[in-house]
Amino acid sequence: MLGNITLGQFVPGDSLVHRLSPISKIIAMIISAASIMMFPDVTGLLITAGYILLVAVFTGRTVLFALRGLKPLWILLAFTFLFQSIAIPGETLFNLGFFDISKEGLQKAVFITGKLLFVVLLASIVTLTTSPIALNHGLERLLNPFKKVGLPVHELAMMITIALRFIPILITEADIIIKAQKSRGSDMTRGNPVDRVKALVPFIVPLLVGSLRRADELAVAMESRCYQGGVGRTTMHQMNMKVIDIAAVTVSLFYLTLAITLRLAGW
Amino acid sequence: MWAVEVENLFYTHAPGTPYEHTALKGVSLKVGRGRIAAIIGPTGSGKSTLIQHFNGLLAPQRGSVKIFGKSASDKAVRKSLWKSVGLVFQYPEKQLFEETVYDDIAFGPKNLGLNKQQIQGRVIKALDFTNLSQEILTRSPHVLSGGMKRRTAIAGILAMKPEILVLDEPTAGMDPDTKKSFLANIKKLQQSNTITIIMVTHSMEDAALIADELLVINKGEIILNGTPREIFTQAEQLTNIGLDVPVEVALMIKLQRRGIPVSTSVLGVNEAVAEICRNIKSRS
Repeated sequence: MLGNITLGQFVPGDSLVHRLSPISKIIAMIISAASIMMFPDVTGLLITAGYILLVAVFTGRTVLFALRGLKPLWILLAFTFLFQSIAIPGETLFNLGFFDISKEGLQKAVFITGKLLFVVLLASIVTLTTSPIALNHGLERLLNPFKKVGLPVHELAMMITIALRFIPILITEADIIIKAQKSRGSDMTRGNPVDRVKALVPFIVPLLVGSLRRADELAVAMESRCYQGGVGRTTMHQMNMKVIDIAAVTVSLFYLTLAITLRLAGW
Repeated sequence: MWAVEVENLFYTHAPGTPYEHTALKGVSLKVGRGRIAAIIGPTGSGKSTLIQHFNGLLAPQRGSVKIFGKSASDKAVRKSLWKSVGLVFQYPEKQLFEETVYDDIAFGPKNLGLNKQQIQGRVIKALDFTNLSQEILTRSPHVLSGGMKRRTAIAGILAMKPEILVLDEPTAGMDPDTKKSFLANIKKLQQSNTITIIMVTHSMEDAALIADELLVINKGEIILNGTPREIFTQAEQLTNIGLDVPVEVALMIKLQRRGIPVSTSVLGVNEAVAEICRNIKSRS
């Protein structure tokens, strides 16, 4: 029932992108996203499409999941497209009731929607090819310099790890509770909005009680194993930069240079 | 008419994803009205998936499920199945949510649209059945002990007076005494009402104690079905798929392996003793 939640979903695989270190994946993604935003016009969009295609080739079948994951975004994309196309004045192409669709507006709409689509696609390729735990270790390493200014990086990372770890457990539990209450005749798809909100109580209360209990148990388990936090801890999976990592970051840097050049050339 | 009739049922979880998993591969079974059937299988054998078809939570993907002759492939039938089929999930204490025990037990009957007096009658009766005292009715279910929580949750299903009661591992985590009296109560429930009971378990001992028939499921397929006595004649096959057989049956298997011709089809220690005595006499 809740199977279509794809938050932080990871598709195991053995593609080149899968094998990249999470650190380089995050860096390359940030560089690429910045570049996509920097391209000044539709030409950049075409270059980006080529770039994404390149990434997709190295990602393999997992890309299909990224594409499927775009489905829930269509409302946002459609809205962006519509808003952009009516908000920009210019040479009128056709009339839509109160609004005029201009040539410039349409161009801008394609441009903005395209950028948005590509950034989301890149980000989901990263999350789909990196296990949440690895992603989080990558973030921890990247944020490490901020320890000097007193940011509790390790603790934050651990909290994220635990939260991520609990998502599938809570989804399973929610699924069971929904089914159990449905078996007792509870129905949140009927009645007026007030009734529907009330009908949520039988689901939310047990779920909350359950997660508090779990949190408590986990805390006890960690304490009884003398968990101490970040100081002197090593990780099981060492993240060393390999040739492919350097190559990936280099490619994204090359792409960034292209974006900057085009921007400055003022195309 | 059969209470539950399943024919060639298939079910695949998350089809088309890397998490695709076929839980049921052509399951067929029949349970007569007023019988106690136990579905037995190791973890991951598809038991829980199977029973969720009985009260309309899952729709048959292929094959058919009929409850009192009505096909669960029909959405309208599926939507009303919860009224006649009570499903007690594994660890049902997790589903308690109301402020008082009374309200929680009354939740199902309320959804059935009963009036206040009827609801009260049902709650009291269900409470009696589960050996809970009326004192706890005004308490919060969350402060009860684990065992009492479990019984409260089961009472919540019984209060709906289902025609078919499906229990998913109801005795998991119960101490031996509680377990025994719980199983005895289930047997009593069957005898005093015309209720059909389907119990999922992986304990052969529990099943042998109360079930009229056993359905052994492994890897999504029913591999054996019959009365406990019939099933225990094939005790070896049970141990092969990782199920525990009752101690007395295990003893018989060991005797057989030593070349002593005893039957493994024994129910309870007394029968086992009788069987061994018979064997000794026949030798002398």
